[in-house]
Amino acid sequence: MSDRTMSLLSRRHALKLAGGCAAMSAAPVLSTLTGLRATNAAWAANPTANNDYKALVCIYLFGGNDSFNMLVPMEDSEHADYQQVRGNLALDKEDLLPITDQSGRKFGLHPSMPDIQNLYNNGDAAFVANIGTLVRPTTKSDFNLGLHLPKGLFSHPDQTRHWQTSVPQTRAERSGWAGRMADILNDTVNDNPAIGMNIAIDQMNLLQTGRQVLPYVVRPERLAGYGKTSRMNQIYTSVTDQLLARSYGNAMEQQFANIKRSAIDAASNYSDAVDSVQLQTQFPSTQLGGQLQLAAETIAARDNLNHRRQVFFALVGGWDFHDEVINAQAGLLQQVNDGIASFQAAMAELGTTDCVTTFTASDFGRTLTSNGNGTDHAWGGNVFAVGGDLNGGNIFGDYPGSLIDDNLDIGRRRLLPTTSVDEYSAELAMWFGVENDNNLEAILPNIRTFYGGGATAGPLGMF
Amino acid sequence: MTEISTKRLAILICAVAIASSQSASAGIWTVQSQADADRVTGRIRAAQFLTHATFGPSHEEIVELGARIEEIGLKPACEEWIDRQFALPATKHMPLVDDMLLQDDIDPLVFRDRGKRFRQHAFWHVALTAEDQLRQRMAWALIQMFVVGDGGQSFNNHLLDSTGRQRWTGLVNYYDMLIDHSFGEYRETLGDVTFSPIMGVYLSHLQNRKPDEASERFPDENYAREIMQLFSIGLFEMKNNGEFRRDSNNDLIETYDNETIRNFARIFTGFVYSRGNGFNRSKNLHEEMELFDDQHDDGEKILLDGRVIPSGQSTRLDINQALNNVANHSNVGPFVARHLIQRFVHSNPSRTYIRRVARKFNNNGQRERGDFKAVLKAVLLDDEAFKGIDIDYDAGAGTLTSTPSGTERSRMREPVLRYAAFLRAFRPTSDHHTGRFMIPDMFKTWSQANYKSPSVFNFFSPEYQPPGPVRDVEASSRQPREDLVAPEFQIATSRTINLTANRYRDDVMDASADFGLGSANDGRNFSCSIALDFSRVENAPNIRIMLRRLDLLLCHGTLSEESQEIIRAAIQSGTNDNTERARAAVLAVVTSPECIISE
Repeated sequence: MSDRTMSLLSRRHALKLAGGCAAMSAAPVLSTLTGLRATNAAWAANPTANNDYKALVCIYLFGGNDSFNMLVPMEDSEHADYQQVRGNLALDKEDLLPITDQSGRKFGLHPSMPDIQNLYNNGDAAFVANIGTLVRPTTKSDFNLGLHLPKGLFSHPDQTRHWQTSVPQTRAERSGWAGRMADILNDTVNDNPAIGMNIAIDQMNLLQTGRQVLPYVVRPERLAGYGKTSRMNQIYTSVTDQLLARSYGNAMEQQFANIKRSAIDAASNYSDAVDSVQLQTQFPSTQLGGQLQLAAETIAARDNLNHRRQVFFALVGGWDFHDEVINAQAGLLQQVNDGIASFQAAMAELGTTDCVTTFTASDFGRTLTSNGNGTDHAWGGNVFAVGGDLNGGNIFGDYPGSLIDDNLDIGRRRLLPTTSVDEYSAELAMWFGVENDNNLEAILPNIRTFYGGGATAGPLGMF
Repeated sequence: MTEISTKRLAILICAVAIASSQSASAGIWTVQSQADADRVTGRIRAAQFLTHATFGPSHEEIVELGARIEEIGLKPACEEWIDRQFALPATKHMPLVDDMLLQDDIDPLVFRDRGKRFRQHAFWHVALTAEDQLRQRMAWALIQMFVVGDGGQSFNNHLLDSTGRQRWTGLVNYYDMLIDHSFGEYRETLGDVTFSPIMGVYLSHLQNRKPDEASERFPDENYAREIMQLFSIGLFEMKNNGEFRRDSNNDLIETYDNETIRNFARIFTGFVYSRGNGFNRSKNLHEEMELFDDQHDDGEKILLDGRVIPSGQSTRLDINQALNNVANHSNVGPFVARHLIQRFVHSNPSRTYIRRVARKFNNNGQRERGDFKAVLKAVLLDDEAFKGIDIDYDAGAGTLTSTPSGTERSRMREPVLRYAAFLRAFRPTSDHHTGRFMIPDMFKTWSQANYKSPSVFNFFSPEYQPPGPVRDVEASSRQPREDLVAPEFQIATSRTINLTANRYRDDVMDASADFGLGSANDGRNFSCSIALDFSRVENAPNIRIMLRRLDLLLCHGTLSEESQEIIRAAIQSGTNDNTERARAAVLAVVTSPECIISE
């Protein structure tokens, strides 16, 4: 590949074509930029050359995970502080699953997460501590003065929106960071006009909604009768095609015609691609299990779909533990643990363990203090990622030395986040192939308040 | 040519251009006389109004109201219709659920939680058959503001609560409460919603305790936040016309902050289940919650607009004053107005429309605030509610054109309303031994069903803007905001669009909507088939008239000539069989973009 081609490619398309799972050996394949479509088609025709594949899987825990009961301090004094602040919600030390960070500091995972513990100990999982939506690094005095704070702190729709847009200073942003990433990358990396890079499982989301690109929602359903040859089906097909092809002055009618046209095409395209793959791995019959199975099947069908980059979005609801936090969270974390365990087994089966990074996100952490038997909306919380390419067995960011540290307490033991969602998202985007230049800035407009341009190491060191 | 005449010419050209662009998306009706034109106009207006105000019109209802419109004029006829609706007794769902269980010989305890499907049956049977359509539509609009869903703890459970009723009927009881208030008052509704044990469980203010600073335990903030954000005032200060107020920096002004929430959280302490003693009582999802003073925080609280609730008051007084404080906030009028216009009429009401409805909310003319009857009339009888369709009669040409006026006066039909209207249009009859419409939960097909909202944020957001044509439209100066919204598109995904079309296709192809309802423990299988009568379509003398009839019935006259010609040509060359022609026509019209978008 010529230098010029390479620089053009990174400038205009932001795809990093080297390193890790993305190693691109067949350099001549990208010898010209014009004709990328043809090039991609050529890759599809030659699967051995198609070894540049990566996927991100977002598991969104809607409602605000009480994540200081997911990742608990185990050092004696730290655990004592934890018990003091959590009161009747504190988990017993002996029930927790022990892990240590790189410095040897002891933590405990929620007892429902044995497979995550194993993945962590094998270097295939990592946590990010006390992360939250931030406009820029924020101190307690900034908070008290109301300086540069995200809009609608502690509110579900606002914080869900900000986690997904990464532009928390406004509620007006209508695209998510993975959507903007797809706006930049999609046509370069994937050769599939019907099914874009962003695949949402079961429902729409903001994270994957770009300025141009809409996520493709699976589980796909074909339009019944469409394209079939019986007399009635021929009429139906003809009328459908023509009514969707004509133009409408009313934008809502045009909107509907557009999305129905793509729904029909994509369902048949997707079903054709996925029907031909078969996974041995069994998935649990839970909400998340079913979603991750679909993601795994779509990954298995990546060549049929002409996809080299995919982003998936799965959602598990029910984390708004105003009540009954102990029991409800145990069941949900079990669901997450079991779903991810199966998903990783499927990735091993497909040989894509190093090509896929799964990450969790949630509206916010919760008050460390109890409201009786539940907790309320707060800010900083803990998340984790799983994947073979991770610098795993690590806790990134700053887990508070004490959960009763007044410098982090903004009231009712709501924690001021010390790591921003932008830093986490930048890690994921850069691993995915986005250069740390104006492309990253287009995807994460606030990133420069946390992380300088040009650096090749990510802001947290997750990969 | 003088300057003036040039201008005139320009205006003339402009007018011609508008006319021709209109005719591109208009429906043209052949009419013989002024009387003929009046009759067609009346029917189009009747179909439009009944689409707003009911679960969908039948041919007979269109004819009847259309005749009355011809006779006494549009608004008087519609107002008369509304007044008649106001006078009808309310159809409640709980007695229907009970009777349905009885008629199907179901022992609810043995049937366990499978009984909960009867909640859906009652909703659909009422939507399809009840006389009090407007009240039922209002309840459906209200539950999309005072949202609850079956995600609440034990809301699907078959066990008995302390009233001796199965827990899953608690949601039905909540819905009946909204039906009771549909022609009532906002403040009273807000009060009953707040005291409902369903809401108490759903947003966890039930058994919410006063703070215990020593053990760092604080009141639950859930209800405190959502009552303001979702049930009353929203996030930002609004003018009566729905425009956001701005501060000196041109920033939006938040209606409340976290301190306000913490104060309201302290207000909403001390709720307990009705019946029994002490603070922790047996579940009771059917009777208004009681108050337990010992767990109420009776300290001083500061609420909206700086209102101070002094310390030492009774629990009930605290709560009532706090509810008054919320209900009297100046945002409630435009907030409720916008919600109801979006649910009944269209997605992007103008500032003046919102203001007219909000003013009616603020004062019904008798200095009463929050009168839903007055508000409903303001929503349904406003000029703008009818402006989604322009009707022009050209006596010379013998034609009447009905032209949808554009994006800002449209909405996408909600899946539930769309399906109800489809069934009601074709004289449905059920094969169930009671003749009732035992339609089950259809959430998986189109992401909407009563009691199935996935969270307190309803099925879709009132602010949702899909990327693409809707987002690209520049809002006119009539709009309160810069962007247009299309809330219902949030659940119109690549998945639900095809699934929904498949449902209509299944129903239309054999003129029968068929539902499997599972089995009972005794091995009985349940199902329901609803026969649809397409005879008026089949009996049309030609395909054009077939489509004209369907247009009026299903699309209140908004199916354009262009679309009708596409459908006509495909059917004409596709089959000679009249039954097939009718079915192909019904399916084509009911799945057409112009019919799915309503004016």
